[in-house]
Amino acid sequence: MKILVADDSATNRAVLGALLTNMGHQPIFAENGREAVEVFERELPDCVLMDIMMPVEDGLSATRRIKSLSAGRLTPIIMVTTLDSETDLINGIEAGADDYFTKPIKMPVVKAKVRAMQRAIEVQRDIEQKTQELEKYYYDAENDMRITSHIMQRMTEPEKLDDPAFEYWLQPTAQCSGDLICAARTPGGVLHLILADGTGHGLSAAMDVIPLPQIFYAMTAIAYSIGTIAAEMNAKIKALLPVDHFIAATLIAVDPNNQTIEVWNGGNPTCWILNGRGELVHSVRSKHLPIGILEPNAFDASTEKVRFSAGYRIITFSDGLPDAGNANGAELGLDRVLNVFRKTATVNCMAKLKALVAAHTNNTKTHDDISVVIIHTDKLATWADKTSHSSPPPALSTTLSNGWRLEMRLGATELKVLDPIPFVIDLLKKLQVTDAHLSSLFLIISELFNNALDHGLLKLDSAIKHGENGFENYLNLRAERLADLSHDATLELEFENQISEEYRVLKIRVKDSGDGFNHQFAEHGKEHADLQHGRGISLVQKIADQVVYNYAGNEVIVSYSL
Amino acid sequence: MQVTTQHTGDTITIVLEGRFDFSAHRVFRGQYEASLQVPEVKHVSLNMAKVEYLDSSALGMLLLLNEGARANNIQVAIINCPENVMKILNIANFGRIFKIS
Repeated sequence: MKILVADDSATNRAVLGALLTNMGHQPIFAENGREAVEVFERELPDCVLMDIMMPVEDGLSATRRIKSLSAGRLTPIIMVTTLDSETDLINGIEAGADDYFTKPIKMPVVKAKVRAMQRAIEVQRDIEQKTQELEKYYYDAENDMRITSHIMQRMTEPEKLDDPAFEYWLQPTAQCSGDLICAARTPGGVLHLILADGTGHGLSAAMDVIPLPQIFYAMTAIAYSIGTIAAEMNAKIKALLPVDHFIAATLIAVDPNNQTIEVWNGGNPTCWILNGRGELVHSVRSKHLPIGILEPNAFDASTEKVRFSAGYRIITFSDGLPDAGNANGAELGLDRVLNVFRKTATVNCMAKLKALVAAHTNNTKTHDDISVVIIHTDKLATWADKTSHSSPPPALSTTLSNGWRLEMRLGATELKVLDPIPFVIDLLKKLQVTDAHLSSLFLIISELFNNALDHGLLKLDSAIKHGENGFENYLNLRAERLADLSHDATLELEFENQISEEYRVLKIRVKDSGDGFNHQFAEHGKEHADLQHGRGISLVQKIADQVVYNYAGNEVIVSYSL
Repeated sequence: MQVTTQHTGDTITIVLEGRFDFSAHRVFRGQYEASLQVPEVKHVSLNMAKVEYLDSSALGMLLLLNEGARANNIQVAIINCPENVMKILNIANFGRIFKIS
């Protein structure tokens, strides 16, 4: 250590200097108080031995000044006082001295005290260094949060969250939230929505959910079902995140054409479905493990499906909402939240809910991120409405060659596990079919495929859907028959792009190995066939250029101008 | 949170008391890792009777315990769950991974 010895006696200075040098320290000297302060400022010693009685400026004054100069950095000052002066002692400590020697100075005492001061200094320096490091980490952490927040916002694509069919409320506890909402429409106009809640909160929770939006948007764009999307998310998250991290999620699909709601809930509070009169008609409880826990082959992608009619609302939220605590720690609770939706007219329910939460928590920060989504089925425009606004077909492109052709044949085993539609849609997308055409084509291809499978191969009657519990019965029967589908059942799909100078046409052919509906068609006419197949075929005929069935009725060819 | 361990035969009972949240991480992990190393242990019981509060970090810790236990062929059971604990375990469907009572 560098130690300043301030004493007007040359002998004292010499003796102390020699002792300190022996101890391995570096002594520097001052003859009076004023010099002591000057030397201190210049040399910045680690410790000071200060005599009180000095000419020009005394030790007390010098001590006070030095202490104020070294405010942030501990520099112990040991005063030298005369034996019987208590006043000196008290004044010295008050002036800022940390310890004292009494005269006559005994060398062992000096040695011991200097050593003690050295230990104190080492501790202090250690603390100073740790404080600096801590400040740096804090700054870096704040910066990381800012970057993650930025990425999160970009990935959740806020412009897609302004679909008029739903309202949402996100209230994170901090800058970064582990809660995430994404929404998009499939090419067929089905609204897909996910509300996800990552483990914990803050930065690690926000990072946990980052992989989800891309999977969600990519798969929705080519019409994968929400069960399949959930399975894909589970596989990705399981592989990416550590064992103790998982994501509670609710996935919802609302189909305006078939008037159905489909829900997958793993780990989130119950999703409520209320009818037009504000009555709770269906609750989808969490019956799955959250995403990221199970191995892919153990994952359960099954969903609950419900039909809806006018005025239906779907409400889903993360546990931050019912768990929101007031000043006494009492939770808001599910009942009070449900009452808001039961008793409030559709248009005001979000505002009412926010008011309830604010009143309950007294506007203090809530413990967990809050997120809420309310889907208003009345505001989902049906697909038919959308087509009337679609843009005119683009100018002919001559960049494609004579025309491509894709043919696939699926057997019973494949039909039980594979949905080929997303694959086809993705291919068409990559072959630069525009979005407007993609929507129409999606409708045509799904309609033809579902007819071939449900009616042609599984021999299901659409009329079942209309009876009591019809929808559920239809789905159950379909699952049963699909599981029992005979080995020699096949379904062929063919797509051919035909180009000439004047036109570009997509030819779609679907053939199933069933008996066809020839008899009904021939005997009872077109109206009966429509009833059997639902209004789907009429819609296809409206959109496509030509729809031609073969004689047996198990093969159909559709032409669609691009 | 306080964590105490009792060893009887081939079963170790870990008793948890207080708030089971992120701050309990070190204590909990220390105790269960030691328990899983004991040679003749085949069962670990987590006694939740005195747990006041459980959050998603706690669920994560249970998953870590489960991973360690499975690696050593040890069965984990969660017992004496009070109502609020049961509620959270049910929503998360942890009954599919653990034996819960």
